[in-house]
Amino acid sequence: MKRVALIGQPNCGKSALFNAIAGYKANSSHFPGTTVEILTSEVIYKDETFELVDLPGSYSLSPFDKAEEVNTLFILKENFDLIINVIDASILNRSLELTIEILDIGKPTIVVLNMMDEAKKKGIKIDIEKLSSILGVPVIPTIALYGEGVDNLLNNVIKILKNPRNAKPITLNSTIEAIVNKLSSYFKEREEKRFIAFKGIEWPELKNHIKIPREFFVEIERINEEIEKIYGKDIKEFIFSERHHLSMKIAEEVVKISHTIEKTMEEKIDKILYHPFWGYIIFLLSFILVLLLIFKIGGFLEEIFVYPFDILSAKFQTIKAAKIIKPFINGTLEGTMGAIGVIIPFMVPVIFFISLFEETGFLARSAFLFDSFMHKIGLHGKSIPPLIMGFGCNVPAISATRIIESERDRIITALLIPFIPCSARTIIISALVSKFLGVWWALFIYLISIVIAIIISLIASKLIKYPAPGLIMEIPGFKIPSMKNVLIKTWLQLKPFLFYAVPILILGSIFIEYFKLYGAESIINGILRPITYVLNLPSQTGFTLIFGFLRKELALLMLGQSLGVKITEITSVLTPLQILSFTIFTTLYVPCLATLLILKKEFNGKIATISLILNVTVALLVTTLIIQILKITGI
Amino acid sequence: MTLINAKPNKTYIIIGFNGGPNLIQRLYSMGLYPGARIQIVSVAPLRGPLMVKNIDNGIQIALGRGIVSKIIVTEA
Repeated sequence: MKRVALIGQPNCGKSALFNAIAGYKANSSHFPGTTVEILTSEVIYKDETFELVDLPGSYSLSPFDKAEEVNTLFILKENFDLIINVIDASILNRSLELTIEILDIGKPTIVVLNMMDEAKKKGIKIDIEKLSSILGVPVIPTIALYGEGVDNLLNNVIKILKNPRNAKPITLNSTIEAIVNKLSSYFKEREEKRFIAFKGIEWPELKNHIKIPREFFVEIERINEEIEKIYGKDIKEFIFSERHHLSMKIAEEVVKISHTIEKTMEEKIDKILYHPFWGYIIFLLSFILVLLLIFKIGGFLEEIFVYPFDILSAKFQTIKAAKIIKPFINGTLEGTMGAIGVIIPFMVPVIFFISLFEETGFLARSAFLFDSFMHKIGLHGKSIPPLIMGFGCNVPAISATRIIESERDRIITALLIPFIPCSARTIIISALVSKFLGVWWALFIYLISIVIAIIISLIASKLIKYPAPGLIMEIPGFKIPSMKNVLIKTWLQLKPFLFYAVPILILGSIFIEYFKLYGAESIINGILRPITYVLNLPSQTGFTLIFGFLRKELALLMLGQSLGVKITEITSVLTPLQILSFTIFTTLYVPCLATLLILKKEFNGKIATISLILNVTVALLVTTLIIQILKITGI
Repeated sequence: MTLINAKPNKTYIIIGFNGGPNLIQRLYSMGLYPGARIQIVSVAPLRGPLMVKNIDNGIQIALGRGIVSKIIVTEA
């Protein structure tokens, strides 16, 4: 199958374009570098099929962080037939620097001028035909968010896939051309030799990924000395500043600005959002408000959803069935009820609000607001967005740490993320603590997890001393969120839960019924008794902790089942203190299986093991400490 | 002067950088280059980062103080 790669700078609307073409299978995001996993989709258009690859947003093909490396390595190592370079039309001069790099590759290329509406708002008019003739490739205007221009683009894609024409590089000044011609002779056997020669100069780590002869670097060193002597500039700077001037020149030739930018409503809101005082107040208030809303909405929905299951379950109690079948029926019913009646009501609001935070650009803003605080605990602002994403789900949050340039900061942040209560744990907190003990106790658990993360970060930064690098991060302007995008995002995250997690939850429930029948449960409970004992919990809860490792919310379902009551009537068997103990412990005790797997994939087995040991230890210590304090003080 | 001594909400023009080529390339590619007209639109408290805006195209970039002190500017 033919392969088409989407490449563009962060926030150019590349994911929106991917969604418009691929039918909403990717996660469109507002925060620079969120699309860290490469998404692909098979596209069928007018009887033609091709694979579309959505590469992470990247300012340049000389990578600065892990996320950007993905692009350069994809270009060098993967096969593809066409590049679609997506450009934010409202900032043409900056975007063209990447385009010039892309044209160096010499593959068939299409340039997409996206966000034409934004450009129009800013009074920017672009001579598309002229741009196309300068770049030597087709230029297609689009507004991806509304699907405008997508048909035209796809027609061009099909046309070029049938009749490929390689792009021609744009020549820089004669000195650079002479250098790159000489250096590309080291890579004669490769089609993209010009691109490799440039990257070899601009990104020395390239040698870790492809074979480069030693003489190549000797040559660069010699040329560098010469350039420094004549121009007083490092060769790298000599090249990228030339590329910059060229793109400024091209932009100047094709852009007409009819009126100056007016202050929009969104800009005024933005001014308040990053205000050195109000910014924090708004941030903290909305955070607490969102949590309270989640508890309230979830609780309300739960009552509606659980009701029909109550009637059903009462009906089933009267059915007489063989001893071997009964656990199956009970388990299926309990599992389905738990998944649909308890988990979905709480899960939907959590994902919805996190998506809303992302869409408005609030998430990126938090990096700016909390940078100085993060420096105090040994990290910097870029760790904040992944940590906040962790409240939704720890797994993509750990992938999102790729935007952090320093490996040390990346590892520390990834170790902190499993302490952040994700939506699955929010379900447990909402359904148990918020419901039976009150919302303030629920907020208290969030506070505990944040304090733990701070303490661990402080300790880690003392252990591994390293000056935290300075913050450089683009903060996209505040946007009134598109409800369509927020809802699509919510659905995209809910979908895998429905198809993957619900069956696990039901299977788990059936298992536990059979385990009970054959007494296997009590053996595990016996082994885990030391833990449940220090946590002040009944021994039957030991078994549920095993399930919580698979999926955190499973611990909640199993809790009711092992104790033989419905979740909504848990207070008849557990004291408030026990409910608190169970919730705090399950919130902290182990990263779930999926989180451990992503830690292993993003880093290595050692980091995953450290994370596991760290969480179990901290969970045991903290829970016992809190329970003992509460016991003594008698609250 | 360097940007660290600049006043908020006043327009300055970038004339150069004091950093290494990697940092300069990053700033260029994000939209901060010699000749760009910029403003400091917000300063985070407790010696936090500065929000720098390229007023020609509206790009906003949060920069730590170390980096801000490497950007040489002149009043517009």
